[in-house]
Amino acid sequence: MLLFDRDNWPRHRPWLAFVAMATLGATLWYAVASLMASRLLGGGSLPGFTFGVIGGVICLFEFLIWPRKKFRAWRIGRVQTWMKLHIWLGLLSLPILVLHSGFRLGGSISAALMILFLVVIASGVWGLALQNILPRKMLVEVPAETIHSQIDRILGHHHDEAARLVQETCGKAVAGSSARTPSASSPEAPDDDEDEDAEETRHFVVGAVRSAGKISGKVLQSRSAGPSVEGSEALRVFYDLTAGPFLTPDGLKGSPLRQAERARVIFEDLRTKLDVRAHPAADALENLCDQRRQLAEQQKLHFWLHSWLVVHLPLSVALIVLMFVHIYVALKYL
Amino acid sequence: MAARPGGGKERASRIPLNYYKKRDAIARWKLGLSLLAALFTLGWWATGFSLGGPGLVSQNAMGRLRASHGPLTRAHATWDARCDACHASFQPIGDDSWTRKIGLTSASADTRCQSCHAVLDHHAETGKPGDTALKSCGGCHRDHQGRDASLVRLPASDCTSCHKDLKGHTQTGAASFASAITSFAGDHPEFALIKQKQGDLGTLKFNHALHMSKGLIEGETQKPVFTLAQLGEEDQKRYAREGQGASDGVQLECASCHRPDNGKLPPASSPLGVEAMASLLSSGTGGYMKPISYRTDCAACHKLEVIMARGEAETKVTVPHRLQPSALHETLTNLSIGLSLGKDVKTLEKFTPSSRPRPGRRDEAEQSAREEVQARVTKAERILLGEGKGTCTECHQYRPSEGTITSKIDFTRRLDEYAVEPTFVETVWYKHALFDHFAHRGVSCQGCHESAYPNAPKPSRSNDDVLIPGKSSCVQCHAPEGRDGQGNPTGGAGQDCTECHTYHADEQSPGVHRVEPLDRLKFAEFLKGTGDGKGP
Repeated sequence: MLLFDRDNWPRHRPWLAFVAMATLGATLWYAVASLMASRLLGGGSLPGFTFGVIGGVICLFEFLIWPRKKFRAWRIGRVQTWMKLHIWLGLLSLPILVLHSGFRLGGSISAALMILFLVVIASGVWGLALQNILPRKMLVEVPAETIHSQIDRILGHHHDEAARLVQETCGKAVAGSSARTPSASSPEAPDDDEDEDAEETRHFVVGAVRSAGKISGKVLQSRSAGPSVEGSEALRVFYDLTAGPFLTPDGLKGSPLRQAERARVIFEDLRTKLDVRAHPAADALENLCDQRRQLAEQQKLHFWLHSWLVVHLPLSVALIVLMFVHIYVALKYL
Repeated sequence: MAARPGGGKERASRIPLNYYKKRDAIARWKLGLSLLAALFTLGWWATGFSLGGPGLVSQNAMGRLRASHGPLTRAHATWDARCDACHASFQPIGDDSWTRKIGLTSASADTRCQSCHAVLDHHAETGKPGDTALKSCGGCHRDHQGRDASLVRLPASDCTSCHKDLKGHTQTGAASFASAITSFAGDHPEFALIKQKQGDLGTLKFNHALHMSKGLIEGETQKPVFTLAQLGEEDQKRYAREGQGASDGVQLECASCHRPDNGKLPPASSPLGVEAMASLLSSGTGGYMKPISYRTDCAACHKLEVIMARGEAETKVTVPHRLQPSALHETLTNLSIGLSLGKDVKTLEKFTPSSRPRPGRRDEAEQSAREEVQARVTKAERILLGEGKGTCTECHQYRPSEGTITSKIDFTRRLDEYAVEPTFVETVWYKHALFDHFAHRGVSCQGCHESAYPNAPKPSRSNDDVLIPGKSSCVQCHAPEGRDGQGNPTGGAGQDCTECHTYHADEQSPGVHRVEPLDRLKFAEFLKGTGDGKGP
């Protein structure tokens, strides 16, 4: 579910109105008080101090979303509600704390605090934009999406499945061929006994993307291998030289299969070299290569989807620490 | 048991169930950087207290500098990193309303300020006790605004917080000044000097319009023009304007007599003109004009000269200024005797009795000489104390021993019954406000003192006229920025109360008392700030 979409926007509308009204009210109060004082009031004035307290409480609340997400089992409101509050109160804190500052950076601590605050807000808004755009993109472009941390493991599976598929289609590998040799990176690499079992059962699993109407996703498919096909050596060669390396975690770079259109042409060409009985194997291999590209895309999108947090979170921590320093110093030298 | 290839078990085991327990790279970076950020932030603050040293800043000073929200003004720069010199921990330095409401006062900080600044309280006795509008030192004098910031140029609101409703802030509910002022251009009353129309209390007879006219004559008249040739050589140089010759009439300017109190006279050869140069003089203050002095400002034209005749010979004698009539009589007598003695030895003999004097009898020659001397003195007195040009009476008035001040001396009475009335020429007209001529040097004198000029709609010809401008003149500039009917810019200059007024009133103002200074500190204590509650 996206943070903002057409369906949930009505639920955000009251918050937008609240933030707008609160900003307007705070600005009016500040403007009137400043006009009466004929100067821009700072954090020590009544409105400035009030904004400081409100802004500080908001910052603390904003920070609490980290432990809230960390400890999901805690029953203190839905994470979705927390996130909504995190977004809108975070946005509200910007005008509130700018008014608290009196439009001045002040000394080192307050200047550092304000700069940190602005970067945190900016990174948060950047993150919010990414979180609203990229999941939609991911849904459309990566139907084979899997758990990000498990991509390498899945790639190992794919590699093994492809090797088994090629072996089942082309028959026993001749010396020097890598087909039917499970990937070293695969944590689930079947041992020799399992190979024998597999040979005996002639069943294996292939991850494939299937679509049903508007929904598309990855499904695991058990396939039963048929008899080996004469004259399918081209498939083995293709696997050994091109598809096999491409299916490894580091195989993306320099591979001709990296580009979808080029891959389609290559597979079309492969099929012309194969007996028609070997075409299902070529199709399955093409499907695995397609998933490989999707997982690469997922890795890229995942990086953008989460890397902003590498800035947002540490700076938020620094902001909270410095905020307490600022509170102590401001009250000491009131 | 191993999963059978192709079976449901294999499908289920493709992703381990506990995969989420292991952090991915981004999560590890997030955690690591967060810890680092917390440590770095605390470290940055903490290192401030251990950095620095002699020659740079004292120990702990950097930490305090980080707390400072701006450099102190130049006068306080010594304590830039010594917060305790002015601040009392956890007590406000300025009394804002919210701090008072929670029982915090700035008393400790005020004590620190007053250890150096023993200023007068502002109507502390007439103000309502506990009035939150009466501020602490720091309530108005806000430091940390930079080295060149002024602590005394304050926004009007600092004053109008009380003066918009002055009666509401006094113990008696009465106000000796205007009780509702919110802005200068708005409801600030007309200056008392103008409003009360008391006129000039000075007694010096002076016609500004005449003195500002070329040749010192006004309009079409048969009177002779007063030319530069009638001045002394030095004075000719001083009063000649560019291109003027000796036969040209004298044309005075404001700066011919009104000189700024920086003590410099503008060079006469200035191409900008005397008036302009006078205004451009750099000075200590130059805010006010020096008092008018006969010797420097009048004597060039108004020479106190009189002709004394002896026989057919005439001698022009000059009498000094600042003589009372009786002293003038004595001076003239001496001059007359001197005239007689200096010219004729026989006269001297008349004053030297050749034989023993006999009571009741006077030598005839002596009598004649005395009469001659007296006649000259009387004639000179009638001229100098009489009416007309070049006389004392031209400018001064007299106070008889009995009766009221007069412009004429009754010569049937004894001269020692009269005294020249002091001129009482005001040097500072605004008694409750400050004015700085130097700050206004860019504006022509005529802009504010128009009546001094002969071409004014109402030129001033009497000393009763007060040529000090009223509020309407000031608000041409000291008002909110705008445009007049012709589209010309108006206003825009400063309008804060402190442009003209000072807060810590003089001792004569009602309800003020001097704050006694605290014990003075030793030099070293002063520099480092004691931090013991006494202030710097």
